[in-house]
Amino acid sequence: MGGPGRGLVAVWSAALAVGGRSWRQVGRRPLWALALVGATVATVATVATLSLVEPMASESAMADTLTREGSLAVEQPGVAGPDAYRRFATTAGGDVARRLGGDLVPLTDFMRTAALPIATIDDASPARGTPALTPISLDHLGAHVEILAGELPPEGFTIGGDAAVTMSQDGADRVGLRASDRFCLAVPAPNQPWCARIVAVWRPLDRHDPFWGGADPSLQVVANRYDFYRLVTPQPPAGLLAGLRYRPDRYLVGAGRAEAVAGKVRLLRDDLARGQLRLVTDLDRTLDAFHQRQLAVTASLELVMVSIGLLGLTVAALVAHHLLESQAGERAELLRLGWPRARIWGVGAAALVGLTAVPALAGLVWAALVVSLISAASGGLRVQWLRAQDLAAVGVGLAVLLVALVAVMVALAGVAAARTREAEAPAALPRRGQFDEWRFAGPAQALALFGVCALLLPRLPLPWQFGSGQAQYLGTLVGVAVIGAALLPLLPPRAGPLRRLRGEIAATLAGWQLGQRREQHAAVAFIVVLSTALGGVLAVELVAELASGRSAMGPEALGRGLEVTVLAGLPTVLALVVVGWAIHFRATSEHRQVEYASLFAGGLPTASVADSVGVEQAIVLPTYLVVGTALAVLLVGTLPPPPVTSPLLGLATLNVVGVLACIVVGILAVGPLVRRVPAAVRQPSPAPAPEVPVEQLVDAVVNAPPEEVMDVPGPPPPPPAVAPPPVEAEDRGREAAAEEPEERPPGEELRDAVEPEPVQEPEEEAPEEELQDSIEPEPAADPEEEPPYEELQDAVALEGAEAVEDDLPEEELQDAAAAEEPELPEEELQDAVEAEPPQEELEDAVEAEPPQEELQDAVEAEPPQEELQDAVEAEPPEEELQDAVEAEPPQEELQDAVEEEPPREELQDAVEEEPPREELQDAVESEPEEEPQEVVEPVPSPEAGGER
Amino acid sequence: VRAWPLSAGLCAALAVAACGGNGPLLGKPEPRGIVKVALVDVFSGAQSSSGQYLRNSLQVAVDELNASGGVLGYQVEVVAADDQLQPAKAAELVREQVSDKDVKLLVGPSSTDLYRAARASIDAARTPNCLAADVTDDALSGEPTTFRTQGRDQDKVAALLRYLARQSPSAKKIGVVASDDARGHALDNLLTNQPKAGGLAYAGAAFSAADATDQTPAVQQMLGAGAQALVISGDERMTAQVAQVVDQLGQTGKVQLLALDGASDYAYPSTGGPAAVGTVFASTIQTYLTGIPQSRWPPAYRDFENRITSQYGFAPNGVEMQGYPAAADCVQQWSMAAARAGTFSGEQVARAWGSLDIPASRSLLGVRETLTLAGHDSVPAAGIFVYRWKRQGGRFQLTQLQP
Repeated sequence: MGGPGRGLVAVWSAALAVGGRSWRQVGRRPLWALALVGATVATVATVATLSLVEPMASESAMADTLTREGSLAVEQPGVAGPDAYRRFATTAGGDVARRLGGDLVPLTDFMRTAALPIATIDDASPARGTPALTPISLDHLGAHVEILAGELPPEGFTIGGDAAVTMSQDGADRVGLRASDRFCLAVPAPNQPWCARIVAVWRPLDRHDPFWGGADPSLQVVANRYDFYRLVTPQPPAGLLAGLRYRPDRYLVGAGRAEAVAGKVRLLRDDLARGQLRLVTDLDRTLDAFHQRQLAVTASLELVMVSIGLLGLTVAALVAHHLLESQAGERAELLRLGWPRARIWGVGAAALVGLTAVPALAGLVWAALVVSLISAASGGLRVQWLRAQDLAAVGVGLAVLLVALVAVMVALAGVAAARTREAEAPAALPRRGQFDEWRFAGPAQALALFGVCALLLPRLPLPWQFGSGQAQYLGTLVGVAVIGAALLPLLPPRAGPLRRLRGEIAATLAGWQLGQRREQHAAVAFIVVLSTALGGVLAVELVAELASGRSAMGPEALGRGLEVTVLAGLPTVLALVVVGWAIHFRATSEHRQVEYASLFAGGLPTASVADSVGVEQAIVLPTYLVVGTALAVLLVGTLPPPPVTSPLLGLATLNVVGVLACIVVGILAVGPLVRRVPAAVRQPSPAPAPEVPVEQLVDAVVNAPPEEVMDVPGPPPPPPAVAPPPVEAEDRGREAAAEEPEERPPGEELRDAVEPEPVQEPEEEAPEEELQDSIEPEPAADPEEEPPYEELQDAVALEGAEAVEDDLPEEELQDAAAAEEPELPEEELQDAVEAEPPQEELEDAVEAEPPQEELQDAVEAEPPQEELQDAVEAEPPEEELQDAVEAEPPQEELQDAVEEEPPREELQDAVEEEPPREELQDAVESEPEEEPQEVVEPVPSPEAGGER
Repeated sequence: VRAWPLSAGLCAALAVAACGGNGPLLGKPEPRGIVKVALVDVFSGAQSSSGQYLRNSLQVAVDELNASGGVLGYQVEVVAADDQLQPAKAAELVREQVSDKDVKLLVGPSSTDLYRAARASIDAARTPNCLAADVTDDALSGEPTTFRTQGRDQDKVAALLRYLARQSPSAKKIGVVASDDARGHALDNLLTNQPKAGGLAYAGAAFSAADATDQTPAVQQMLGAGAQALVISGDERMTAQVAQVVDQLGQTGKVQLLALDGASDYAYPSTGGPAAVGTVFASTIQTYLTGIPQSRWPPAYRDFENRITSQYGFAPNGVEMQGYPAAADCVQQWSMAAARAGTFSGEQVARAWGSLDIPASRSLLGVRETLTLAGHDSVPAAGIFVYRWKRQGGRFQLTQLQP
């Protein structure tokens, strides 16, 4: 195989590797992937359906309007005779063709007189009160009637010299005529009496047919032109006129041309008036009215469609974000194994694009099926009226949605890849950063600015067309929702009322979470606001359409379009908000499990996680339901035609409440499910009795001054790794809890109680990285080389297997850990913990290149679980913790660490920044048994658990 | 790679949008309007069936056109006018019809005299005109927009004389019994000037009034002149009367009766009875009255027969179809010409009509129809069929002699 062949194989292999890894990543979070797929399908299917329904409604309504009310007639009085008629037809037809070209289709030519009284019926005088008859000559009669008896006579056909005429069965019955009856009409002298014989009776196929020009055909006597000329010569009777009747060409005049055709009709009226011709039509007014109604309806449809697209996009992005967060550990692993970031990005992007592009296509197919069903089942909406330009607009709109969807996925994957670090920082409790006093900053400001722009731009008197009703509507919707989400950090976290419901600890933790990092729920807040507003608008539309019978005021198809929009939009909105809510708070719940790992070790009941997340939900939901409802009211008030009249106000309100209730019920239904703590955490192994009451521990954490506790500025902590294995997290928390009282300086005990592991900044602390490299078990393979794929796969698969909430019994896990570690006698373990390591070793560990073996032994050898438990139970950390919490400094170190100046710098220096070796040295000397762990052990984060 | 379906879909939508025009993508375009095919013929009196059959034929052809989208996007409608065989009324009705801007084809009037009365209006309006009934050959000469879907009389006479020379070589003298109208006199002129093979002599013509009920004097006149074969020109009734007179005079089998279109309908043997048996006539295709199975009929002709009989049934005699393929041929030729011209303008349609070449497989008359700007007769000499009436069981039947 030549060079190109090998290159192709290499590319193919790389693509397969990326695809395979993407598939495995997705496979580890099947429910989340399913949520992303579902949100995409629902969004694309709904948007595509509505985008097709909108032109279907418009075009079908236009066709109906033109069919029923599209008559246009040019008339001229006094036309008597073939020559006069030909001149009239030429002139009038020319004018019409010049103005309206092919937009009109000739319907019939006609001549008629005023109604003439019946002189005789079968040579006898008619009964008193017999209605007069209107003689008329109508072309193309046969296509618009059903012949009930006889047949339409040829021109010039006479019976004994009498004209052969036809009339409707209704009219014949009213006059008392039957087929073959002879009657004569009274005509002005000197004309001969005009006698005729009924040779056929018929029934109009459609009395609203424009063919009849709005007149009642019942009392018309239809004669051939040859006979009609005989009637009107030599003395034309009163009311004689000739006319050409047209109807708009439904094929050419689509909904988009209603306004233009109406304008042309007005011009034609002016033209004809100059030639003593008369235009008889309401077409211009009908088209104008249709245009206004269509604008209103399509505006509603388009705005709902765009809003659902925006909502779906947001939900998909939120789900994808959490999906990527759950894969942070794996990305870190790949980075450590030498994968370039672009390739890591490719893996993430391939997974997300695969989860959105393919379902998007499925959504399109689904929409096509739905539209076909609607067209087949509904009498109003007909797919055959869709035009090329309609489909083009639909195609462009859907392409924009799909491209936006794919772009968001690719961008999210790119951001995640860019933020990947070889050693992922562990999840930690939120802490305030350098912008403590200015929380309305950064992304929130950008969001708010965007919202303000969305609100104001459509309303500015700009020279270009930017201020349409739709733009204002959409601007209001997006602007208010975005501002609402952006202002989330400014809202006080009122968890107080929930204390009794959820418990003191849960309420305290939730309030503390929201107080520290309120913006973490901004995305879901945006979703709630948007969906609530949209649901409210749809609810009002539903009432306005179905209850007020607005469709009766306009073409039926437009009303059908609104109905379909409401019926398709509401379930989609409900599904999207529930999915967004569920995935977000599931991720939050898992995140909390890792954050609170140390609190678990301190005896925090695991149910507190679910409770505290529940409190967070309870705080977020009502606030944004109210904001969304207010937004809905605002939007409804700006709908083009006032949709709600006073009699319907109550019903509309009830409907809005119903929709809101559906949203709330949906959210409440999934709430407990998503915040449920995995079994491994819910049923911990017999934990050591906490030395400090957990309430005090929590209070200490929550009430500690930020400057003393929250010492790590910067962005919110990175997400947990691939589904942080709860058992592992708990174990590590327990490990930390077991180690820290003994190994850390007293000043850090409080911190350690809050944070399971010290935070490392890998990119800032090169020496530490070196240290990390020196102490970490080196992989067997050369890290410069890409490891064998199978090894990598196994490593990640193992991590994934751990990450999955596999609910392994705690005992099994403990047994497995115990089997790996030699079980040491308690004395030896105690010795190992308390033994004062030689100073030289510590120095070496910190400064120079320590002997790998020593460091490895000193730092990474995991003590047996019993030893750790013993350390927690037997050793007296309780006093230290108690002291730390109660701020009673029985130990100087604790007092120094917490209260005295400068405790923060020391802590900071000791843990996160490059520790001054002198201080570190001092700390090691004062508490020699804790030094090795404190200084050199960057306890791997749960996300990066695989690396161990 | 994953984006290609999206790109393909987008491109397809844009392509459809670019090529789809303004109309709806699904469903047929709306008709642009309605154009009329006007038939001026007789619809009242004893001859009313003629007009009705013509109308039926036009309607069948128009229905087929409309089912396939009409002509140039327009639906076609048949309108009829009853000239009552009165030249003045025919002229008035034709004037009225051609003044209607929607009338794009005029069919009729159906006799030479009526046609001549209306000819000025037709010429003035330049409305395409088609004659499906018999008019004299010279009536069409110089007419720019009039076409004929019947064979020329000279071709029919030539076919009859060829038959006579072959089948009855002993017949040396031929005479004419004709109604006293333009066509009868045209036949007289034709036979006077027609070269006659085999020493055949022309005994002259005897004319009878159109409303004459006794043809005995005319027949005796020809027999007296020594005619051994009589060429009859007139309608079915008059032709049957001549046959009955010959039979009554005991000349059946001695005098060969030759006829033009007057003997082509089943009404002729129905009226003439046994005296009609043995009459030979030349006309366009009448194969449906022969014993030839349908599978051997020209396909377009067979389709027409099926449509007309399924839509209108048979005449009261139970044998005759109520339509003329030559009339439907008018509509077919006109629609082809209009489509070729791309307009309904009379002159342009006539120009296109004059260049039609319709293969036998598509011709309703079962022959290749070739028109020229100079010759507006669509049926060539080869398209003239010669038949002879015979009795088959209780019914009359035709035997096809030529071709």
